[in-house]
Amino acid sequence: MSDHFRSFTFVDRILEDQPGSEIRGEFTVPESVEEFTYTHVAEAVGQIAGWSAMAALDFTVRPVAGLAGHIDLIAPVTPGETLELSATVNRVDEEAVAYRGEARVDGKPVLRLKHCVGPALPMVEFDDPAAVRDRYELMCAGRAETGTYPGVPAGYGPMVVDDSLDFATSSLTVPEDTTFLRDHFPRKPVFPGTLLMNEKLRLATVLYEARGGKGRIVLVTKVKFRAFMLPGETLSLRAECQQQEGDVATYRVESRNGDREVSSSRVRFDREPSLPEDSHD
Amino acid sequence: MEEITQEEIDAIYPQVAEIIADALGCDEDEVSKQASLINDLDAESIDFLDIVFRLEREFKVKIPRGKMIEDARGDMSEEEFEQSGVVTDAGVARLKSFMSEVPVDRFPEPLKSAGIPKLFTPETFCKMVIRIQKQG
Repeated sequence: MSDHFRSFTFVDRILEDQPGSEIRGEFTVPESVEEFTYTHVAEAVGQIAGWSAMAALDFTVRPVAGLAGHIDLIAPVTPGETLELSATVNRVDEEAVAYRGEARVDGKPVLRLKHCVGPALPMVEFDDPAAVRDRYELMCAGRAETGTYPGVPAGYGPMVVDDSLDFATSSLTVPEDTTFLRDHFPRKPVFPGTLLMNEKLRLATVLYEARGGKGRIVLVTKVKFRAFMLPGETLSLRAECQQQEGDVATYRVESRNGDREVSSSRVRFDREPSLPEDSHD
Repeated sequence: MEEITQEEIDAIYPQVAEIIADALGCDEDEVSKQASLINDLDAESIDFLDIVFRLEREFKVKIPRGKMIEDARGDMSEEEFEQSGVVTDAGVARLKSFMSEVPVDRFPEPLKSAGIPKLFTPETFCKMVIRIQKQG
């Protein structure tokens, strides 16, 4: 069976869409998966925004991960739960999509994205436009197959904390071929930025806990992806403590392909999220 | 089009420089008014998107895609400005006048349309914001 729209697709149903404007949908996390991390939830929000943008431009462009200015990690998601996804597309054209969005479970927010921008690239390079359109229409009609996400491998290279406790490093080799790559994307397999982000957050957490931190990641900011990560490529990851007082800390995490920076972001740890539940721009 | 004064540029330059430095992950003192974002500060296309969207938020303006080129062309037709991806002599002359903040020796011959972003400096973005603010 094809992995297309099965192994890395996090929207089951589109409940309402004004293409290029507002969209709402759902995704039910299969109970069979081991975990559904914050970065998976962020991917789901990005995907639903992407569907609205693709529909607005008649499926001629494929938005890809680019920038995320602000991600509030509010509450964890348990397999079996249904994400209520919503996004507002602020701008969409042949160059980029700008959006914000959130995910809720039982009406309560679990993650919020703001100031996101995805470069728009020609759809034909990534997928069959007709197949993408068909999927969109199935989701709008509530007839798309659900419960197909099989999970993804957890963990790649060993994580090494420097003796100074100032930084930690790891590496990640993109698999040559695997189920999620075949869905991301069928014509141009690239390692999902959100999975890379997951590894970076794990690395930052390893360092944070080695330094005695007892909290968790509550905010990720200034996320930027500069290049695609292709099958077979090996990235070096680095998490660096910028400041830490007790459980409150700010870290910088980056990934590189040789000398070239591929992605970067800032990560904030705290005991509990410090933002009001319904803060919006 | 109404002239932009140095005073107007200097008034917003600190905010623009801060945005550019933050977007590029460099120190503010590395960002000079005449630095080429691509050649001197290693900016990539994703950084241009980042800078434009941050400028929009900071100054509460909309910066349409291709705005700078459109304003530079003014009443010149697209055919008069560019032929087969290369800016015409008349187009280059128009650009040099419009982008007066860019040293003339930075304009290559021939100048490809795709190469215009290499001319962009922090002052270019300042002028872009000011023009849009004046257009209302």
